[in-house]
Amino acid sequence: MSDYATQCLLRLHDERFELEDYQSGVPRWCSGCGDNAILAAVQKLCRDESLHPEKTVFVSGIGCSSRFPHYMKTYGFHGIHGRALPVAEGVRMARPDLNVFVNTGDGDCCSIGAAHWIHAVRYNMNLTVMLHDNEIYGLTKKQASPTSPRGTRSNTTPRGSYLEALNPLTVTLGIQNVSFVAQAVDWIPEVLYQVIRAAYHHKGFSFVRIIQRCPEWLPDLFEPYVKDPKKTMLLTHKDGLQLSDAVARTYTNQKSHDPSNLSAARETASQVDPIPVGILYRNAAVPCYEDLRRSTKLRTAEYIKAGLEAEFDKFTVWPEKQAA
Amino acid sequence: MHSEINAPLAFHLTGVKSAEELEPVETLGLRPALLAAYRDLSPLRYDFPLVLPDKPVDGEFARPLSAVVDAVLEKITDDRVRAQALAKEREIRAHAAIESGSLQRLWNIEPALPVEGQVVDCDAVLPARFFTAAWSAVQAGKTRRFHEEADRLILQLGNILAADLAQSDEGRTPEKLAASLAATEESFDTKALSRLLSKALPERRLPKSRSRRIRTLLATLKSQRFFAGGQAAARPYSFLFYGCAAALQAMRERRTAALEFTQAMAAARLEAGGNYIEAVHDPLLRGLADSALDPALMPDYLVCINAQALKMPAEASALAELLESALPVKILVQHDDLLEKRTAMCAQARLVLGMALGLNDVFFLQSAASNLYPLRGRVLHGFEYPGTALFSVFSGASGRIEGLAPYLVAAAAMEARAFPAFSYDPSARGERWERYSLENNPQPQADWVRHRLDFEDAEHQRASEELAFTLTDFASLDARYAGSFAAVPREKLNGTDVPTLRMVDGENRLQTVIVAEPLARAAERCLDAWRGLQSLARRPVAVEVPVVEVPAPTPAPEAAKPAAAPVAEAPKAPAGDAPYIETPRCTTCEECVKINNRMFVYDANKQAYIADPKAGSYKDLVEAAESCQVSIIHPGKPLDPDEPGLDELLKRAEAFA
Repeated sequence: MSDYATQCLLRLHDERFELEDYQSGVPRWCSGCGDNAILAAVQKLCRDESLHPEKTVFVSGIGCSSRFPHYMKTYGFHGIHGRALPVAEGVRMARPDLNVFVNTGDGDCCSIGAAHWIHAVRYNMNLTVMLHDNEIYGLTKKQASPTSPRGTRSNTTPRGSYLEALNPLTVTLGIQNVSFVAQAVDWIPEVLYQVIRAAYHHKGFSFVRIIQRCPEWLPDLFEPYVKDPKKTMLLTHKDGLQLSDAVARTYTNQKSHDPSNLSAARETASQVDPIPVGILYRNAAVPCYEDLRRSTKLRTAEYIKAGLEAEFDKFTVWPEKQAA
Repeated sequence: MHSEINAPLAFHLTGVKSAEELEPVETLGLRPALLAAYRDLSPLRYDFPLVLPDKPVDGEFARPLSAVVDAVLEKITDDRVRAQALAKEREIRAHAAIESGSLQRLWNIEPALPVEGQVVDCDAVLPARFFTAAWSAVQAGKTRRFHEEADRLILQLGNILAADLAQSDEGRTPEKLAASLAATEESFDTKALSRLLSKALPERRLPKSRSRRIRTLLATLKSQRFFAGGQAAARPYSFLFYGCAAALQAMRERRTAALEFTQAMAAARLEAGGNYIEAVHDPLLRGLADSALDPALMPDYLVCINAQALKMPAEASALAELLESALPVKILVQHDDLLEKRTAMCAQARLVLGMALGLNDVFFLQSAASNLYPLRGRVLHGFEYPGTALFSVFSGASGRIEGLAPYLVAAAAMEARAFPAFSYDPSARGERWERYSLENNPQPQADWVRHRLDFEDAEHQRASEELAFTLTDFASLDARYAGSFAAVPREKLNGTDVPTLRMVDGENRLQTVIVAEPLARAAERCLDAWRGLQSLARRPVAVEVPVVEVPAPTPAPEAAKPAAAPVAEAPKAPAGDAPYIETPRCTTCEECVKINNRMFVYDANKQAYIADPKAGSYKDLVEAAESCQVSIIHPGKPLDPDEPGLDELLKRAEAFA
């Protein structure tokens, strides 16, 4: 009928966007913060994929990372602590036509929001989730987070933290229905971009842990990794990272890793030194919850009203019934 | 000189029976020996009769009666009830051979069958009913998908108009506000609210042209007649025709409406997505041509015709025009009589096949009616193919073959390669030969189909012969060809090399029958045509090229070598002592741009480079290098030799050389 005609007509649109089309204000992150690198990579992705700003939503929780939606000239939802994922799932369910991104931090996702995180992986809704992991609570001025290495001295752990750090990758890879897990570091922009791009193109819950530097509260934590390229291990594969010559020459510590191998992904993900960077696991066959539950019913005003009435009726006191 | 006539040879060559021992086949009531076992089909549980469900589930538009009954038998443990059900099935099968009917009416026993539909046998009306059922099943899916989308578009466009109204003074009258708030008079002063809103929020209406366009689109979508179930006052168009000329005429008459409908759907999609740009899309949509009609979503026309109708020039030319249209037209050509012309047996079927293959992008399926059920998947595929499809079916119901059910006649035509199963799918991926299929033909790799015949010889001993079932066997069923056969006692052949058939008479006695030369030649042509189809559907054999030792080539001079593929080079230090940044490694951390945003500037990827080294001091460069998180700023040498504190700065810059 006219789907073909529509596609032709849409192609006539001037769909080229510039970085400025996605930029909103000057970020208030500290100078040197890794969040800036993530913001630049995401804006580049939006531009390269010609994402319509009005069809794109960034949802976040609370924390430094969660200021992300303020700096994107798209729709955004700066939510409540730990609840970025349920909000994003709601957006996805109601508006499957939108591109939904989630920006969350190690405290937001792995502490207060841990239950939502686990179930969001299992629901496998089509979201691109970026875990900005600087291994510290930064916005509230240095408290240990679940991913802080053991011994981290902070305002809540002045003698150093007692517990081993939680590994967000192995946790995610252990959950039923996991479909995409990757790791990037903010200091290799080209690889960061490539990983986020692969996550965006994956249909399902794409979980990207981005190790980012916090120059304010943990300035030395990743210094050795930034200085020594050998301490970063790039995971290459024909279905994974494709390195440019420049990156391949600098980061010579490389390992071939097949993203379809879940056992190998779990083994590699548990490594912390050198840091594995690349696509750890991808399985496009896992069904998305919104597809399983999608209704063909039109959400007309009458349909919505009838649904609301039915819900209200459950709690309505009917005097005549009581009298009877 | 020996002058005695060799009677068998003479018959073969001339068709004249010159001796008494050559008996005409019609007096013996002969039929091919390989068909001896098939006389009464009613006790057989085979594909027919078919049940065509009234409401197909999962595209299952036809099911054998035996399969429907089996589904019930699985749940019955009582042997008496099982026997009763099987007896009823036999009864229905016998009844269906006479006339079709409703399954509910025929199956008047318990337990009830889970399907409601029509019972049809393999007869003259089967092809049209079978294809209409398949077409209806596919159209039901298309209609459902259309309404899902159209209803959504209508809702979205309606919402745009509703939002427009809500922002107008007309939408903010006290009455409208009271209705939208569901408020009683006491709870809200809607008059005050109306005044307030009118003052505080000036009217922001849609441009009139857009609002008009949306209303027109809504009207067009609601009044469309292409899919049933809409809100149109007029009846929906019918897409089922029994003549090519009539279908072509209807297509021409509906062309304007089809283009308007296409235009409306395209514009509605753009509007609903907020992508409609008047200056761009108005002229483009007005100029939409037939090529914009997307066959995948337009309703399919189904045209059922008999091959006899193609003798009329108007129908033949209309068929050609429909096939060329590349529009979603599905045409069923039914052949009832393949042996009508003695000089050109099966010619019309081959003509239809040639038309389809010649056009290259027409889906084509040829099948005997007896074989339609196993090929139902391909039939559905033909209906789902986004373009023209041509189905050529031999019904077996010529009325010229007595004592043999149309099912057996149709099956015999396929077995004899007179009407083989064959399909061509232009949408199939892979190599060209993979578009053709001989699926479901018996022994598809062989020339003729061969079967072993076991019989009792004159000495009452068990004997067997391997017999081929050829076009001559098929023709021997038809009384019009009786003159082409003569039965002869085998011993009278005297070793004469003439083509013969093995046939049986009414009492199942084996006979040898000589075939006249014109029919034998027709069989050769039939075999040749079959081989042609085989060659199309066969994977080409890879030819091994012998390895020839060649002397090693002389190395070309350096200059002649092709340039290496360009690779992304890491930024290199510029010549001299100029400052530089390894831009691809920049993490956009803002440090340098905060120090001097005229010297350090972000590029289109928001990665820093030195735009103007003269825009700041050497001190700015050194401080930026020191604060850079990933140490990618290289200050080079100072431009101003008189800059204060240069010695110290140079010392600090050494770390970033």
